Amino acid sequence: MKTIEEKLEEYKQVSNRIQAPLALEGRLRDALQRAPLNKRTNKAVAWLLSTAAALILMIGVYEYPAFAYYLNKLSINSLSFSEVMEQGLGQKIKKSITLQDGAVFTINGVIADDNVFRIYYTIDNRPAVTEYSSYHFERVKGILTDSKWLGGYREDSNKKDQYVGVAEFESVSPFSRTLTLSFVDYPDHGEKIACSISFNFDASIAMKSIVKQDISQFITVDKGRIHFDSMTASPTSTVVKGRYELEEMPRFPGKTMLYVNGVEVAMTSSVWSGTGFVIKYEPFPTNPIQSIELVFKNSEGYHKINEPISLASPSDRSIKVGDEKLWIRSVTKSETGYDVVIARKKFTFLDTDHLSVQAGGNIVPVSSISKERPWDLKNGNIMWEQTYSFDTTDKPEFLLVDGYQYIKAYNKKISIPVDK
Amino acid sequence: MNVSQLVKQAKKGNKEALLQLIMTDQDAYYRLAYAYMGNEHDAMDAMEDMIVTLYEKIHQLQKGEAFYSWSKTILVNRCKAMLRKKKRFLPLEDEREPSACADDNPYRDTESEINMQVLLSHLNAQQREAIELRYVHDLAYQTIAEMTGAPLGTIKSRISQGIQKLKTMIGGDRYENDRGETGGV
Repeated sequence: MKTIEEKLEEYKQVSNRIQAPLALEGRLRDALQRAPLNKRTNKAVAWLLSTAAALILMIGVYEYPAFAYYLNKLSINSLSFSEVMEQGLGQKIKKSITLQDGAVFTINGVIADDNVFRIYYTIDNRPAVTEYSSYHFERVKGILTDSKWLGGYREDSNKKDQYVGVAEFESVSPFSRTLTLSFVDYPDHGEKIACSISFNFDASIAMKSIVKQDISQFITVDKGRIHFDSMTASPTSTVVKGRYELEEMPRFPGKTMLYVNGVEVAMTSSVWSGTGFVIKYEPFPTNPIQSIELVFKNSEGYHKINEPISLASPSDRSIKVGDEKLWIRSVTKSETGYDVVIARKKFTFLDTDHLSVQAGGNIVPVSSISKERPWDLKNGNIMWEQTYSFDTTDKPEFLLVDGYQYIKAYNKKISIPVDK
Repeated sequence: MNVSQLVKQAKKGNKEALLQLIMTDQDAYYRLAYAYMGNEHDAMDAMEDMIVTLYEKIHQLQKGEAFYSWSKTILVNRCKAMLRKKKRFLPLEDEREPSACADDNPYRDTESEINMQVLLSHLNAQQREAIELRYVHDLAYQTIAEMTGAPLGTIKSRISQGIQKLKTMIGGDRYENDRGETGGV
């Protein structure tokens, strides 16, 4: 009879057959992309910047809220709420509710533009906040407004037991006079609690966008078209919206860079859902705007392989197939047939639909494919290899594969007209 | 890049570094989430929840090498929070449904696993959780203590008492059943 330790080991082996789904990486990447950048504000820098801004404001360059930012190369995103208020850009709210555990949640104020509705808040007296106590913002609602939570961050303030945070939501309608924020509090102990807090909203504080226009251009890629529909450059961010018109959804979103007056504007997130995508960049850095250009750097490409690939001399030397390299590392006899180990770059995926080998005059389809595992070239490059197994007694001579998906460089430009 | 370097990058806000840390051990994370949530959909949701929490809190992590135990603790807590939300996570005194017997589990197909599931179902929920975390998920006692919020000594005794009970069960001659049910292994 097996011992309990052996039985547990056997149970573990069975459990270990559970593997993470292929979609996991994409899901996690998307989740991270939705999380806004962790901005642990450098107070000293923020203070200096706001002082500089205040000086410029005092000498009368200030015209209207959005304009001041571009002029001073300041990002509103780096400012605390009091600094935002100093510049007359936000709306002070100062409304609190007491949560069940005695913590006090206060909305200090809000800012609004075409891309975001941002709430600045503090939490006081949160008793011994641990890793696990948390709260989740849900939405902001009002007349013609139902804005989803987009993300946020919080950090310890200088005061004991106080957190300061920022929560961002989709933009709100200027017709909303009263807004209600809903969130769920998960205290350290006890059940979750649904909370809400309403406040008056003054739409006149909404900051103007510097660019808000349709793009209506597309890029032709290997498997269809990628449309760029619109751009909204507001004081808090720049948002480019578009959609895919492809035979199949891409594995990776690709990279589109934004240049304003020839200077790159950093991308902060790229999210796609369904066939649509939204790419966010930092706000425009300068004014006046001379040129706006999107550069479609790369995206998923598909390379068709028309020739069989020889398996005669496996080695750790790469073979060039199209733009990419493959490594046929080994062809070895196994208990059930032959195993072929093929390595590739992280984002180069062999098309496995008809993957087969030619062996002894027969075409033998792949019977199983291992999970990918890293292969460290010890020169700073890590490739990914997989074992492809074939049920054949004859040694495979050629690999037959339709093609591969990969990150293809496109480098196509889209110029966006500027009203000068 | 090693774990400490990746953690350093992740602390600077590098999302790809954080993703790489998780993907390196993705199956272990997924199995852990799956064990609590019992289906792929919820396990993936829990992992999404986890990675966002990690991203928000990684600056609080003192030692880079503790990343894996720290992040798995957060994963288990996210799972429990989600189960609480769904009201599926019963108090520890109650018996938990054996998660691996959920209908949509594609891996429930061997006698040995079912056998072990039945055996484990005769332990109390705390012993069972500790044994699964230790023997199936290979977690250190200290990590299990952090995950379950119990002192280290308690975890060790839960595991050793659970193992003793399992041994008695398969020993056959002294069938122990502390809930007075009919044993049906």
